[in-house]
Amino acid sequence: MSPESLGGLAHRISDTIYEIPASARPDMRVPARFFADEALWEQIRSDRSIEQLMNVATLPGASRAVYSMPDTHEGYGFPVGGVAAFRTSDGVISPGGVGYDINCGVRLLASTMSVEDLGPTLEPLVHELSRAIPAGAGRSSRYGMNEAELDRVFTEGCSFLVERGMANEDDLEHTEAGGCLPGADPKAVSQRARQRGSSQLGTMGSGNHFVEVQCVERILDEDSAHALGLEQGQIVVLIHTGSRGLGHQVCTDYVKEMDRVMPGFGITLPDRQLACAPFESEAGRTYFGAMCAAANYAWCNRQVITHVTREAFSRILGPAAALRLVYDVAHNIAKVEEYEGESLCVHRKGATRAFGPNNLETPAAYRSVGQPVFIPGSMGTASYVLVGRDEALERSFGSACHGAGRRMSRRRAAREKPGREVRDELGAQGIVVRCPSLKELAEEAPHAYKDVDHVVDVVERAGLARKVARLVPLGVVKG
Amino acid sequence: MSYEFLDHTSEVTVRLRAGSFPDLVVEAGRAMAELMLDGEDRGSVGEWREIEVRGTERGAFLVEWMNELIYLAETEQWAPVDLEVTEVEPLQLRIRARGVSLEQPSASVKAATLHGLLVREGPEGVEAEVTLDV
Repeated sequence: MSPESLGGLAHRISDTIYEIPASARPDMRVPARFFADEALWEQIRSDRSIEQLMNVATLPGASRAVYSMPDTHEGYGFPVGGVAAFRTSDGVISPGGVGYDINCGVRLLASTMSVEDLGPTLEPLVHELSRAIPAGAGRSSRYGMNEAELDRVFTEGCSFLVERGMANEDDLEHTEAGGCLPGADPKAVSQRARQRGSSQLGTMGSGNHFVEVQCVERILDEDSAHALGLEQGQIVVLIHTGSRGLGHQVCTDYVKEMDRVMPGFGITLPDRQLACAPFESEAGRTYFGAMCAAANYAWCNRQVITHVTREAFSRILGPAAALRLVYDVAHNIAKVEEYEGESLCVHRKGATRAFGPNNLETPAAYRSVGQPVFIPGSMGTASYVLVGRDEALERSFGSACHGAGRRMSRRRAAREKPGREVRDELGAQGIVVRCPSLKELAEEAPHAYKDVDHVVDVVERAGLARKVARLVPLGVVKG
Repeated sequence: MSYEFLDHTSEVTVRLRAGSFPDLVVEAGRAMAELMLDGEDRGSVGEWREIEVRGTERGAFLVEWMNELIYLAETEQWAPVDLEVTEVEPLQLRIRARGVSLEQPSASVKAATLHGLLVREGPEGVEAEVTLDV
């Protein structure tokens, strides 16, 4: 069926929810639910997002419903912005449901500086960040690691970096899961993955990854902003990257393995990229161990970039320019969580955990307001800080969206506007841009993305998270 | 023989056409090289090397081959320029290739996926579609 026809199967059940019932296709086990208003729904209907979410609804052990966040768009296997939870007792785990960039995520650093303090030092600061943080595909870092050190990154996560002077206890407290999932199994990480990971800690990668110097343009919820330590005019830094080549290789290895073993479990699927195995099987457990190791590597990657960013701020702005970690949250991950007494393996593929004030995983300092959620826009457009709501647990397995969401292909974006023009337009807005490739700049141009203000508005109206602050970019270092 | 890149909202889908499956494998290598080299001349071509790829059927071979090239681009900063399939066994392909050094891959291809993977007989012989995570 065409995307248009599939869209016709949906019922609009509120002004921000469309649902395709499980009865729409014989192989669906649960409904497919989309958080979207009328305008976003029209965009969703233009690609294969609907079919992909319906495919996810066929996976064994699916609980309650599968969800698409307001920024959803076509991916591979799962749609980007897809959330699905499978019972650990009789359900599956799917490497394709996490994606190749395991624990790709976002962290926000809040500075002690205001936009007035920054003045003419913006350009040298952005230049210094671009020199200090290797960007681009396959780039190596100055923090090479031997096998034993890699094992410690896999099993200890960010705690390992405290010992190395690149993290502090406050950083751990303000990182999802303390920057370490306990289920990591270094033996489950292949030699190829290790080889790719040994030289990439502290590197940004390419594509939509970035480090942005931003300014808090507007506070939208005073109490929550106060709890998060944010105020109008403050300089902040948003970092977006993941587990680099190591995570890509882990996913490659285990999609292949699941594709091989899946027939033995009697599982047939409408898309091979959804390849999976029962969570409690050897294949499922082994993948989970490797994924946790890669997730811990990704948290360390963002932490090393934080350390380098702090050094760069200090060099350019002086030692008083401190950067405090507000929070770090994953948006490509599978985690075991409990819902109404049931243990579920929650897959978030391009979706952010958004736990409310009453969840024990929300850092103590934020229990009055909820877990911070960051929704980056695109270069030249705003980003948002939100906080999770307790109601999101019931609505979306405690999830919200992870960005504005692409609305056109990279090739079309580049056809419509060359990289040089994108750079000049950003420059005309006063945004300092450093990017190793004009092609990448063209592919990631603002017009390739949905309107972030609109997407975030739907997140709030759907009751998934509450807006706290709107951030605007001043300087962008692109991968 | 030909390849083309099809629009996909967030990734890249490659459509390959060739007279035979070994030629399709060569075409897949050329498509990957275009993504990695971005059409730029990257200097002198190095020595021939042999690459072995294992698989259980044609789709798995293609994905495995493209993932091998991604691995080589990242770990050896190498992309193929000249390619030929020298041996086709039921579970193994042997490919002879020479290529150029990459200062860094010009595009971030994370992986070749199984999503919508298609290999079928076509008007020119064999055609395939593979979606790449970029």
